[in-house]
Amino acid sequence: MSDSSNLLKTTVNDYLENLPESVHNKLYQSSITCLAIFRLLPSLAKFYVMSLLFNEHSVSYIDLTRWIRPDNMTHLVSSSTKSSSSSAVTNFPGAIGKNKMYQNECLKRLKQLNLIKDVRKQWTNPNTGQLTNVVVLQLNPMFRKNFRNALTGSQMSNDLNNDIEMTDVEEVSEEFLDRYSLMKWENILHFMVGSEVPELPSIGVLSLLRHSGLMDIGEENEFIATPKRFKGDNMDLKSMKITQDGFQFLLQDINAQIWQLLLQYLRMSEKLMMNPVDVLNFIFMLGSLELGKQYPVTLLSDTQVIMLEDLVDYGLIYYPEKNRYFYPTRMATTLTSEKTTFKTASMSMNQVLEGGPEVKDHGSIVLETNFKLYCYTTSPLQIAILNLFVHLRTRFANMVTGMITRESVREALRNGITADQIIKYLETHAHSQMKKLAEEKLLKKLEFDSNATETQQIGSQVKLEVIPPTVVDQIKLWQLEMDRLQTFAGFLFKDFANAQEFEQLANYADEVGVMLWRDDDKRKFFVTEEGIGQLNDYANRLKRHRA
Amino acid sequence: MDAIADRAFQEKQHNVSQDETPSLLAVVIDTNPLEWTKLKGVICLKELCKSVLVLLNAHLSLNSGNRVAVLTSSSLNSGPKFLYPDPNDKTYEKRESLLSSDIHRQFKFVDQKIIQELQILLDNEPLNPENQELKGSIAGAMSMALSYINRLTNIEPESTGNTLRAKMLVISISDDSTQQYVPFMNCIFSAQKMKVSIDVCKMGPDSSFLQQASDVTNGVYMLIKNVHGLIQYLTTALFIDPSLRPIMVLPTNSDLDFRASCFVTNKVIDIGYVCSVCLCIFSIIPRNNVCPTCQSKFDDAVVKKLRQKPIVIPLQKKKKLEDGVQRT
Repeated sequence: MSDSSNLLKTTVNDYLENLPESVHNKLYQSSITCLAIFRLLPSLAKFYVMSLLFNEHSVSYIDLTRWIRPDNMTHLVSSSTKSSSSSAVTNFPGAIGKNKMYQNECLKRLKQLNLIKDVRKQWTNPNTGQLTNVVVLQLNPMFRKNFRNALTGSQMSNDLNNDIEMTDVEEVSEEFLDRYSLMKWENILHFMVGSEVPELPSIGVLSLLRHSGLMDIGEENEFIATPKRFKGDNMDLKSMKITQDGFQFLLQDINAQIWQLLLQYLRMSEKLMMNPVDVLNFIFMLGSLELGKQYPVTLLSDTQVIMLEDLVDYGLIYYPEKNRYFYPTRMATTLTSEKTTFKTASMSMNQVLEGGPEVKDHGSIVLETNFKLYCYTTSPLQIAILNLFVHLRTRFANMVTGMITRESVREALRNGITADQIIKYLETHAHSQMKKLAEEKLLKKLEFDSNATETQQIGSQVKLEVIPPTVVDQIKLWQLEMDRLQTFAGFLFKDFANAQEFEQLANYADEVGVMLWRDDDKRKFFVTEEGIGQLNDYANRLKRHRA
Repeated sequence: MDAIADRAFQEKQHNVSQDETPSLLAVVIDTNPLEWTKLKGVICLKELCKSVLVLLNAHLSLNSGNRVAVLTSSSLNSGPKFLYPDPNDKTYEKRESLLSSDIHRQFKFVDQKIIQELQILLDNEPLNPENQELKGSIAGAMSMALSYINRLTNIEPESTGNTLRAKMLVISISDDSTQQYVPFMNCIFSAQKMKVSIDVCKMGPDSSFLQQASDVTNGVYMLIKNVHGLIQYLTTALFIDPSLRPIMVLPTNSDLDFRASCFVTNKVIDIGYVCSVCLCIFSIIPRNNVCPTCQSKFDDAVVKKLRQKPIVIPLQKKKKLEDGVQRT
């Protein structure tokens, strides 16, 4: 379940990391942006930033690494608690263990975001008087200043959040905003799935969908549409077909979807010479606004006003009166939040949509071991999405039933959806009863396996199985049926002078385990890329030996 | 075929620390006014509050789903009390969910609420503390915090589906009180069962109870000597998120005093008597054969046995030898 939010984080982080240092420094001038970027970091990086934040002195690299438990310790624990020690050993290949890798990754990310810097310093040992070079880590001074301000609340640079009392504006309820944003967003999704939509999304949205590769003007479509072509490009955009990426997009949760589009928007805005700092600040600021409150447009910069109008199309913002004030919707205020909080948001969205007070779960799918699927939903969108990989049978007032069959899954796979995505979708939307059942099972397993203190170590080995494992395995097997070809990079050896030469080399390749394929009749064999060096050495040795 | 199958069924290396469930931080602040006067000149409650508020903001900034709770332990006027969130204020709970998306506002709101409540608490303190009995205890506040944690981590998720981890931070300045031994140990063990780690920020005298609490629950115990660096302690050593605990070296001392103290004489003892009902420990047999903690009556026959002085029986061998000597 955390995978999809991780996915979202990596995409946002990738974008942020690739920005130049000058842009970073400008970004860190806003304390809200500091907070939002801080939230996107992995937990260990957060800890490092926090420990550096209030420390007036710089901290040496070695001191930071001391916080992390050496890997052999975790290794010992896991192998002693698990009866099969061999499997534990294979989990930790090489000298660098999991913890160390995680730590390095965190530090690397901090450096890429220009949050910390390596400084080499000469340091005299107080005991021996020797001079040694120490690597010292320093927090970005701009970030440190503004993040401190954010935490201590000493200087709030957030203009929009100052209390502005406006009496002459209409009250907009949260329900209205939820309904509004959901309508806008689902309209886009419906358009993507190809179902009938009352109102086509705006040109901005359509071109963004095309630029992000989620939808494309189909070849044959273009052909048929030729008579209409003189009506302009818009017509083309309206007859777009969903792409493989688009199918994958549909299976993500709303927050990830919005971010994907926003990142695309960022890339497009760069081409349009919009200031990326302004754009990013605005996005991050949206996350700190309050739902159901109006904010005056006058506080925004020119770029941001342009953005505002674009964001209205996605349902992030309700903008009833031009040039006066706007309302952020729940989709906007939860932008920088974790997925878990967003889930509550979408829960209330569902509640609004369905009008039932008792709808509490976001998840609504029940999947049995016999591949039968029941989904409590009335949303045509969810039914359309399910239809991508489920053979739907019957539809009732508040639910649909269906089967996951080989054909339905193959159909999805052909559309570019992967088995992992299907499984992830089923997991995230599983009914709370299924989750509860799985958790109980897991707990029992854990109690059986170990005493209470070491559960966290074991936790990585015993998994939570929300979806019946038989179904998971079967879906994966169906995927395997599809990709029967596997590619390897390597080298083909052929045209040997005699059988002996062939035998010698081929047997050697077999022995060292780099052989992928051999044909004795045609005197050809194929080795992996890594094995070529070894084999060359051997061939040279043979040659010298013979000579 | 094997190779291909392996590829599809390979599970991605799942790192425990990467899963970022939101967490709840429950802070218990020792507000015993009599103890605070002892720390006069070292640190005052105001300075502590400044640092704690920054800590709370920092915790809230980690993850938008993070939550905090703050409790005071004891005062002359009232016992353990929630500063934030106010459990009686129902309308408030609704407002929180409204504010949760707004980080800055949430900081402000939490901080204001805590300061206000603390002000009310201090205003109600009597001016002359003579003849006034202290109400409440650290153990009481801790069990209130644990109940709150239980509600948020075990009961609420059933309806909302949001999972939450929790940890507790105890900021203590008082000495151990043996009267609280049993409730305190009950707290520790229930925390252990709930997998809530108890971090301890100790100022003033060292406390063996709190050391044991953090040891049993895989927490951090810190005796802070340099109070000016309090914020650094709070945001570093005492700031380790529950999700990071499995991979981090906890900055806690390993040589810890597990010896219990006698309930009657307050002396730390190696060997002593144990009440079979409440497990409290004595270095001497209490008066009237009644346990001072749980008031249960001890069996007279057993006590009589215990009171018996060991009798030195002369060795049989020696006698024989003496006999032998006499014979010769």
